[in-house]
Amino acid sequence: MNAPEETRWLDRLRAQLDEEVRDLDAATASRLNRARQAALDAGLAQRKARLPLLPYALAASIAAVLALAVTTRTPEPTQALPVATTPSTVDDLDLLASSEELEMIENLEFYAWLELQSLDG
Amino acid sequence: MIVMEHTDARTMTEHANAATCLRERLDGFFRGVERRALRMAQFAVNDMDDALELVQDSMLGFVKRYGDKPEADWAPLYWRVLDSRIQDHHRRQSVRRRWRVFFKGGNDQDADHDPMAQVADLVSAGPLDQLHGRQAAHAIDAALKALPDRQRQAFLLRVWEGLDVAATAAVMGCSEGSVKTHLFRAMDALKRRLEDHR
Repeated sequence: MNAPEETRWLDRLRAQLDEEVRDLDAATASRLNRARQAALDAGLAQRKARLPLLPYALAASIAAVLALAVTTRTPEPTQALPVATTPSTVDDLDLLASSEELEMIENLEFYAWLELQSLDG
Repeated sequence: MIVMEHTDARTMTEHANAATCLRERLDGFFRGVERRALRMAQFAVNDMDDALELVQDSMLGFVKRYGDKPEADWAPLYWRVLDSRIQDHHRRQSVRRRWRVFFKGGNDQDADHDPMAQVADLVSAGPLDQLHGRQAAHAIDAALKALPDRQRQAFLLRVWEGLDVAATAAVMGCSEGSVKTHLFRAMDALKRRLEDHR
C-alpha cells in the first residue's frame, strides 16, 4: 500500500468511526448527557468547596515555615562588643584608670585607723 | 459599611459569573469529545455501562484537576485522564480475575466474560469484500477491539483524534518511539484484518 492509498484508507476508517459516533442512539446519547451533567455538577462543586480553604492553607503553610525557620535557626556567632565612645563610658574608664583611687583602696586599713584616731582625739 | 457590602456583593457576582462561564466552556468541550471518548472506552472495556462510567469518571477527574488550565491544553489532558481511567479499570479487572481463579481452584468457570472471547471472529464473518455499511462498521469495530490496548489507543489518538506524536506520548505516558512502534503495529494489523475492506 503506497502513501496515497494509505491516506485514503485511513480517511475511510476515520469517516466510518465518525459516522458511528454521529449516529449514536438516543438512549445512549441521553445517558452520556446525564453523565456529563453529573460530572460537571460534582466536579465544580468540589472545586468550589476547595477554593475557600486555599487562603487558610496558605496562611498555615507560611506559619509552619516561619516556625520551622525560627526553631531550627543556628545561633549567630557572638560578635565583639563595639568600642564604646560615649562620654559616660570614657569617664568610667578614667575613674578606673586613676591611680589615686587605687591607692585609696590599697590603704583602706590606714584610713580606717586614721578615722578612729580623729574620733578619739 | 455599605461600600464594603456592595464590594462583597460585586465580588460574589463576579465569582458566580466566572463559575457559570467555566461550566459553559467545560460543557462545550465535553460535548465535543464525549462521543469519541465513549467509543474509545467501549473499545477498551467492551461494555457500554463500564464505558459510560469511565467517561463520567474521567470528566469528573478532569474538572477537578485541570479545569483551571488553559483551554488549548484541555484535549490532551482529557485524553490523558481517560487513558489513566481505562488502565485503572484493566488493573482492577485483572486483580478480580486472579482472585476468581484463586477461589475456584484454577478452573475459571467464567470464561465467557473473557473480553477476547467476545471479539468477533473475522474469518467466520463471511467474505470481507461483501461488507457494506453496518457490516463495514462491525468489521472495523472487531478489528480495533482485537488490537492490544496500547496499539489501539495509539491508533485512535493519532489517527482519529489527530494528536501529534509528542501529544500522544504525553497522553499515553510513554516515549515518542513507543508511540511510533504501537502505531506501526496497529496499522499493520488493521491492514491485514481489513485487507479487503479498502
